[in-house]
Amino acid sequence: MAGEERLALRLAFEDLLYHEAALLDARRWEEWLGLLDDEIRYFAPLRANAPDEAERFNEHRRLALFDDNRAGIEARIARLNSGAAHADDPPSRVRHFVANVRILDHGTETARVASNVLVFKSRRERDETLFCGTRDDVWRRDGPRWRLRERRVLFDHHVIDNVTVFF
Amino acid sequence: MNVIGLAHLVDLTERTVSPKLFVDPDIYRAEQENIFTQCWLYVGHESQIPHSGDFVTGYMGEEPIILCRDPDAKTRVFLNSCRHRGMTVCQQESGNARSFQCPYHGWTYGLRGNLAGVPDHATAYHGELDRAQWGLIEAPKVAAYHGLVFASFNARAPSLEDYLGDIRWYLDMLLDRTPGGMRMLPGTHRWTLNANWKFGAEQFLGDNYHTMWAHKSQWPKDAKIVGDPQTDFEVRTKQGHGWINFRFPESPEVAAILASYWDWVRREASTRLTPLQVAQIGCVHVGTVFPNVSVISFLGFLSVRLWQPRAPDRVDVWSWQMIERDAPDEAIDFARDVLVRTFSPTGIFEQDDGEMWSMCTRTLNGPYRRRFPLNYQMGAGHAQRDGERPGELHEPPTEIGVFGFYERWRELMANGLADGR
Repeated sequence: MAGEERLALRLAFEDLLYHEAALLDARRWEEWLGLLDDEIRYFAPLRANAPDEAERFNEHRRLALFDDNRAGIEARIARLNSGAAHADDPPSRVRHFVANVRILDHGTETARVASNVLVFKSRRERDETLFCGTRDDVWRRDGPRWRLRERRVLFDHHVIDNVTVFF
Repeated sequence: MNVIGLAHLVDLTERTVSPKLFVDPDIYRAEQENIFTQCWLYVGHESQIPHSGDFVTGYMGEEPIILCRDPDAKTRVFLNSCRHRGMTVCQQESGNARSFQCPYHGWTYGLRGNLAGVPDHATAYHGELDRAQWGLIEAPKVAAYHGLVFASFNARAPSLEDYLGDIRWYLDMLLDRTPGGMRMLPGTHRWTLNANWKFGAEQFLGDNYHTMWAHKSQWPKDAKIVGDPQTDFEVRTKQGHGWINFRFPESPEVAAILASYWDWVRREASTRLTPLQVAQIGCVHVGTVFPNVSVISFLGFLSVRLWQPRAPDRVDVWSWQMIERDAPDEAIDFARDVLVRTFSPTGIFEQDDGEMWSMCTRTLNGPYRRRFPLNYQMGAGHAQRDGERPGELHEPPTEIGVFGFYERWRELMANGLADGR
């Protein structure tokens, strides 16, 4: 891929990821769902204090922090919309920061895009939490748009706080 | 701790509990001594350490431990602390080791805990250090119940079977229903809350009152818990353990996925358990073994969790998933996905529980609030005995089991764990 084309693609994905982050911050769940492929896998492996950590991520049926299909994500959103999501009532203040965007791979139908993510959550008066991680996405072309087909969020936490936000 | 103070903290007549139990640093420290060095504590599952040298690290109370299998296939529990200066001798959460070597000065311990190597033993110690006296500190009691490994720092603790007492009947119906037994799936959920450890332990032990409120977002409209007295009940045991049991209607989609699994479990269980135990298969089960290990089974999954005390207002929760070794693939995959989605750090049930326990702990810290006790009176005087099911029973919701936890807490804080109890 020529340099200009690569730059254009990266800028396009930066725009898309920033847009996605803004939707999540604004709790515009329906529009966010619109970015997701029907066959999405939304996956966050558990970290391990071990030298062979990377191998453990692919261990069959290992527990995970997230491992949702579209129905799973919709169930989480249904809770948020239920009026009884106590851990998020009144709604938390959430800000996503997306950085270090890299195009790892790119074909005509799919693009693999990495990014780092830092999420600040502020709750009640001063319950403040930072979540830090890196994301490895596969986006699938759908006409003029891209849809998120796979997301692997690798959190940089071993013991994590109550997780009530999307990444 | 003197009995007069305890009478005020857990009032057996009024059935109230002082907020101090959840916030007071002195009480927290006394618990570390009187509860966590006295009781049997859950340390892991046999399936996590099948071979010689396999280990997992964890905690008993606040003390870091290593659970490992030695070359004689014996299960051992050591403090993860070098005898020389105290540095952790194992830095990994799990793995296989031939020995444990302290990174500070190189003292090296064998899988039986023996001090096998001391750098410069001949020169610096002049060959005079008696290595036999300086092995890893070992928990004097280690035993397993249907694969669940418990350990105690108390050499005079009763047998694990006696300690579990009446809760065994209920544990059996989850852990002993097929001949192949259970195994843990890989991976440990670990999360932290600004909450006292007892809030989680008591809720799992016997609080079915919160279910339709704290989890209103997940609760089907018009769903009622109380129905069949055979399957819908809560249990108080005199050993301080407790159990919640009820049938929760599965959706047709879920029932279709789990049908062959439940059929298989029922068939196997009918040759091992009593008809009344078999009748509970497929129910929701939630229970706590005093002081800090709980189980929960819901929509096909079975999970074990530890409420690890870290400070009066801090608990780390570690949770694992367990299933029959021979369970059909479809059931394992489904159960894993349900657990991750519902009762994990991201779980749509768990999130709301964590919020409750954290805010309770925060409000109770107030010096004025502490003067006003918490109410555990629900169901008092209405417990029933049953011909087969051990302990005292009451239909849900009730607090007979939860208060039983604090009665036991009070006993142990006053006297420790006496022989044979």
